[in-house]
Amino acid sequence: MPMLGARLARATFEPDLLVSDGEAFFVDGDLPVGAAIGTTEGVGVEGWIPFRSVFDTLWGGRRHVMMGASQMDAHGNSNIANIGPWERPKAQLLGVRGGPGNTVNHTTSFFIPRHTTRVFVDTVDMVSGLGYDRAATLHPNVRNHHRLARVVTNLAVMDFDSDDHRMHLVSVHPGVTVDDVVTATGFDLAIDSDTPTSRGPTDAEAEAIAQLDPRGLRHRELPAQGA
Amino acid sequence: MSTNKIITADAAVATLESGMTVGIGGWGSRRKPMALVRALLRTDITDLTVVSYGGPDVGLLCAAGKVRRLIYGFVSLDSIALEPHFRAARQAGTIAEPVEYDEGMLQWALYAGSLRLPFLPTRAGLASGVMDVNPNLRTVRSPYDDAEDLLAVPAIRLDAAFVHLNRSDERGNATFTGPDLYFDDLFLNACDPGRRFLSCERIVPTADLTEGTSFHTMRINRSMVDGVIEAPRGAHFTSCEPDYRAMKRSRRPTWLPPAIPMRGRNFPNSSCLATRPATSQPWTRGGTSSEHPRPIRFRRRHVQLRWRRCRTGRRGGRGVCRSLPWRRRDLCLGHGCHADVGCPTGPSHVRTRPAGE
Repeated sequence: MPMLGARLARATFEPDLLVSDGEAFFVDGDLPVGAAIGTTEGVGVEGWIPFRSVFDTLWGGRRHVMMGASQMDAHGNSNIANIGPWERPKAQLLGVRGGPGNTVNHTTSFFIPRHTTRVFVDTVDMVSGLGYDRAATLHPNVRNHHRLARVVTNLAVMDFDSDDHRMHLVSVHPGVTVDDVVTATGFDLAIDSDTPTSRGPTDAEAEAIAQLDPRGLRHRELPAQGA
Repeated sequence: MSTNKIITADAAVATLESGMTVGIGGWGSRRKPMALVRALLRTDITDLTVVSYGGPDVGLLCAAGKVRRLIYGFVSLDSIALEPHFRAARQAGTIAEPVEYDEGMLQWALYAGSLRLPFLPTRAGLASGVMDVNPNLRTVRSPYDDAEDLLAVPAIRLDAAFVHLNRSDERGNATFTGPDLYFDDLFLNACDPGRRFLSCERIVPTADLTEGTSFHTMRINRSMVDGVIEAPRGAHFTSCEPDYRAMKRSRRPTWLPPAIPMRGRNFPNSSCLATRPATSQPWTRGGTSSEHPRPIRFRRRHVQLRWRRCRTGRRGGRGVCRSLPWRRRDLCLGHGCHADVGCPTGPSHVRTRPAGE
């Protein structure tokens, strides 16, 4: 889903965006998600980015990544490493991966397909990505690079643009109420008096989405509501 | 002509001792030196410190109880996000000293080791859970006007390093013809001379190293390598682009020992691991056929076996379980562990004919 979002952005309003294929190349052209480079006519390679260059790029701050999170707290501390105590986890997940380095070096957003109180918790079991409270303890050089832009879930869009950088409700998706979001969140959200509804795709965007995801992989990751 | 460094995988791992620090190249499920890892699984060596961008290598070594200390940023099979053996071992608490780093910290630790520096500074990891669970990590203050505190990632030096590349000559000059070198050069450079082992798909004359590819791929030279192992499909079942892709089944990887189902209440269950010593299981065999001349005995008579001529194999034939669909029978390994082919009834029904038969 984040990959589709990035490719949609490039196909519509941000044509200068460099998009990687998740392996070692920058994709030149609008490659459908799930397709390998070389399988779509007119879509080639515009750059080589092996894993070592990935770290160069991200520590240099020239990236905006969209990650997943198994847990997240009100300050944006995120966890993809393990559930339960680290010494002997109840569920071992991936490990911290690049989360610590991503969040201190460049803008990070999150896509969470299931918005529940199990994900949005009071305290995360392992901080694999830094939230605003932890980043505030660091040198201004680090704080200046730390930015959590958006958290997109199946219910709503959130950001951290509140007074104390607590999670703030930006919009709720069509058919979802603010109360639904509050119920599914394990901490207090900053909520404006009037929360708008997330806008749907325009016709042009819907067309681009259909071209970028002809196999409908997005529905597998996020089943249609009520389905 | 300088030294010929060709040895077998078993001879390579025989130089290791319990308690050593071993670095394993590749990334997740990509170009892992599985022939060397399997050879290591067949030994009695234990108590290892393993450093890896982890995939099935880490999982299998954990399942075999060989890992005392594990330094990792992640352990994943990529398309199958969670590595089941690693998961089971962590949840059972059988890895005595897990050391969890940010991926970039691990690169820095190996780079510092390869430059013989005590540490390298970075921002990655600062104030994160990595600092919470590794209390021995220290910060260092910039001596310049900014006075910024940075994480000092301690260097890792290795006693042994395993990597797998596409081509090598007999002296250890090697090329990667796939998309990425990963950090294989760092693993070799961070290792003390003596046990830096490179397995490869093909040993070729030096002049042929860049045949069909560019000289930019010559990233490993013979000063970085002590032993060369010819292991066709030696990264299997991880990928070794462009020679072959990773072999993964959507439902359940067949290299899992039969006792550990991927789903259900028995998984993850550490007792499965405890009751089956991993080194005696057929899934630890594999790699080149010379590594396991003993045929794997099959137990159930109702499974019909047939010999089929190996399509690509140069080293003897193979048994194919008839219950395999034809398209999978074509996934000929030629040299090794047929448990990896994906026999739906499990690896014990597939047997290997020894080389030269």
